[in-house]
Amino acid sequence: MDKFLKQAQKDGADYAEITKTSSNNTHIEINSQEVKEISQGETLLYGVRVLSNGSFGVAYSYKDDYNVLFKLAMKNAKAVPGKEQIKSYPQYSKHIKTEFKKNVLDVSLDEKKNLLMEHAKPEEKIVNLRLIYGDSQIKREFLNSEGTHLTWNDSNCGYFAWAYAKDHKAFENFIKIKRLKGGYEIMKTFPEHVKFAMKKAVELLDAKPAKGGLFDTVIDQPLGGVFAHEAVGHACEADLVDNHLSILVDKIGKKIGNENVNIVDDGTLKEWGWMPFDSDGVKGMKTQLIQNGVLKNYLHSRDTAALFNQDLTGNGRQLNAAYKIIPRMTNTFIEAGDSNFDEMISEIKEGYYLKDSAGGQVDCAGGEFLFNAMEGFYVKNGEIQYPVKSVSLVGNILEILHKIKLVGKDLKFRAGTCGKSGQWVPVSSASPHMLIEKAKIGGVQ
Amino acid sequence: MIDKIEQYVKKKVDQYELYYEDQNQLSMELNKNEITFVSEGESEALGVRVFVGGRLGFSFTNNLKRFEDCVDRAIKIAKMNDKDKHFKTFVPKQELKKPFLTKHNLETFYVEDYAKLHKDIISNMKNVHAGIFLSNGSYSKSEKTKNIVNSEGVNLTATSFANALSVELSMKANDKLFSNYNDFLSRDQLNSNVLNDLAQRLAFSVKKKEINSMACPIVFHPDALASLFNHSLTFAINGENVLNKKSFLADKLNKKVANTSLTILDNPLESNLFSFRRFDDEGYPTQKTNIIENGKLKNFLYDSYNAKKAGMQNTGHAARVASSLPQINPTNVIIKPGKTDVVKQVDKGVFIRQLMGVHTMNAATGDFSLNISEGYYIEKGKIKHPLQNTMVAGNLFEILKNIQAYGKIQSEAYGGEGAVITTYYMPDILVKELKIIGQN
Repeated sequence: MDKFLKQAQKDGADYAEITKTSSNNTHIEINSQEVKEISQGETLLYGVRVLSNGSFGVAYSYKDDYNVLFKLAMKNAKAVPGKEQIKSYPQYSKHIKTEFKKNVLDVSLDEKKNLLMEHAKPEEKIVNLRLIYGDSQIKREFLNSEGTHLTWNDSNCGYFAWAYAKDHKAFENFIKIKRLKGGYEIMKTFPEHVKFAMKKAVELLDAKPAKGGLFDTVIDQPLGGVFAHEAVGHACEADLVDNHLSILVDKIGKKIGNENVNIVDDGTLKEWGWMPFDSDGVKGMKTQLIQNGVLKNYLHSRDTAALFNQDLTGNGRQLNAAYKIIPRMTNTFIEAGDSNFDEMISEIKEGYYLKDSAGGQVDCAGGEFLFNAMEGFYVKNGEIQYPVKSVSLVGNILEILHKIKLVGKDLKFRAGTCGKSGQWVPVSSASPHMLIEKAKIGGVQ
Repeated sequence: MIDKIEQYVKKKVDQYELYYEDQNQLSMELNKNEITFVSEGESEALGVRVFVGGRLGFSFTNNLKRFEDCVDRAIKIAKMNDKDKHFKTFVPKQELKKPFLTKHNLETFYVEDYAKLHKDIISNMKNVHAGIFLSNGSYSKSEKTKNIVNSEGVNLTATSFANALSVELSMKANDKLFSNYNDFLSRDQLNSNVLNDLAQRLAFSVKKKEINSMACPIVFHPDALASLFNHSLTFAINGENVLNKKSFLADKLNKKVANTSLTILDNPLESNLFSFRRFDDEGYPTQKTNIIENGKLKNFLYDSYNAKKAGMQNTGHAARVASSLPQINPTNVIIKPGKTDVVKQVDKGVFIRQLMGVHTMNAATGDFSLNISEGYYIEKGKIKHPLQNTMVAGNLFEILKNIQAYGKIQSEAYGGEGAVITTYYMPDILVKELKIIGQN
């Protein structure tokens, strides 16, 4: 494949790259104690990318005719001359394998299906229980004109338990998802998590609607993690900063939050967002975003690092070879502090304890964000009172970072999927419990 | 290609369905008014369903060189699967109702043509307001052919073109950056004025102001209402969700669920709308389906499997890509226009154009509490100013009951999931009262 890279350079490419990605996937879905789907499939994609005449050209196919692909990529790049650049990176070679205890390929489809079926019986008040198992083995290969050659044999496994509960007055649902880099050992917690999802869905039936307003609020680790990801991480992505679509433009070195706020993106952790190397072929690394309340770094792909003349951070990612590589997060988290949970709750006169996230969105330009909690509890005089539902945390990034009063010791990761510009990539986020003063709570009441 | 695969699968099993698609796509990324990235490529994919000894198996691949493996894998899965109590057969061959329309204006539209069109689009946008720039976005043109073949004699092919433009426009004013986002979708070439309306709204948005919390009449623009429909109504009218007791409307068939003035229909044969199709993704002929008629719930939507399971008529709403089983999805969801400008009927209220984070609403119950990303304060029948930091809370199914009037003009808005696009074609809709959360 080197000869194609060399030829592309001869033809005028300042930079050239080849990728090959193949995967095998298994999906099992049980719905109301019946098999809805058992399927297996494979995918294969060859891609090339060039930088020529200041523009990026990409071509991809299911056929590995690199000659044709490079010609097409060069032609398209030359059709729209521009000023794009790419930050160079020293040559290296690396061959990565995701470790696992029990290979998913050593477990039969039958056994996987049976595990789901064994736990598919709905409990009282559960009208529907949907269980999904999924695994995938992904092989990635990367070569570029700098001489770098990388491979990664990746293994993913996970599940999803979604329970719908109904009684005479309410209809609620709760979802529990677990996904990890690894093998079938991940399924160990499956039975307890199915029960957990059903229990929570039933609990929500008695939840009261939350009332909106400003309240002291404790948020748990998964919700805090989503906050780190949505409210801070996205605003640190250099393409958004470049477009002035981030509230953190020109804020490097400035204090944007309380002293106790430390936020990091770390692609080296073997969590769901693990990036031993990114789609640009740059090694994953730990990047401090906020240190003691001060903004330290943006997140870069090769082209934004060149544009900003800043160091690479290993955050260039793409959905697949057809897409543009853009700055994305990996594992993003708020670093642990020294408070404990009971202390935080006891500080609340009237407020909420919000748990886990049912999705969120942020307007990085204006700084406004919203995310819904999966569970919420009304807190009065330092004690948790009763569950509430349809509750969301709303606010502005720059305001809320100054409202973080206490940061807990109990860091915990949560796997997620992050969408940006139509590209979905696996990420994880984490946080300890945190107490936020006068958080803006959105409720129905 | 598919003939070869059919010959292979025919020798092994009696009942089968092959879903093949190939796609050519040209995409361009935009940054600061310029095209900075061009991607072009081809993909093909095959999904195989087999029914063997009362058992179903499914497998997919986009490595067609090894289609035999894919077929064999589907058979292997069927043999280990549980017996299926509901499945009888893949859809039978039937006559299709209308001739197929294709637009080929896009076939020979290349990067150079986009580059030229793009210059015009930017220059027209700048004529609206010189300070506006396109901060980021993308063009994407695709040509997709799908081919469905099954053991019951179905052998259908359709080719369609899609042209998409997504943009974020920005503008600096009063030391602040204002931006607004929109998607445009067409089966044809884009007009060079495509961004002008968005640019006008952005120029107006510098006058954003907060309002006090209140309960007031709301006018929903089709963009905003479609986003709520797409997450919650679509879920509730899905025949599979009804079977699974997940639908809020499960026990409401032929009952009143909305204001008697409301009729919502799904019409895949409306050839001017984006989600037009003559047959669904199992090869079943499509037809008009009334979802809500004069306030009464008339139909749920089905594919062949769930229709059989529910003992209902297939409505032809199977939608899929090769790598997944058919899902039930609406096509062109239509609400007829009224006779008036509904904003004029509001003394004091809010016009909602775009909502933020709609995917966070409770799809099953219809409850939502969302930021208004683009909205306007209405006073004495006139749009007064754009809104800042304002939320709206309510329930979609309550909204349906409280519709008071319909605007004169319908417009298209889009939803759906991934490659499956639902088109909503609706007018502005006036709702009696919802809770607005602003400043206290």
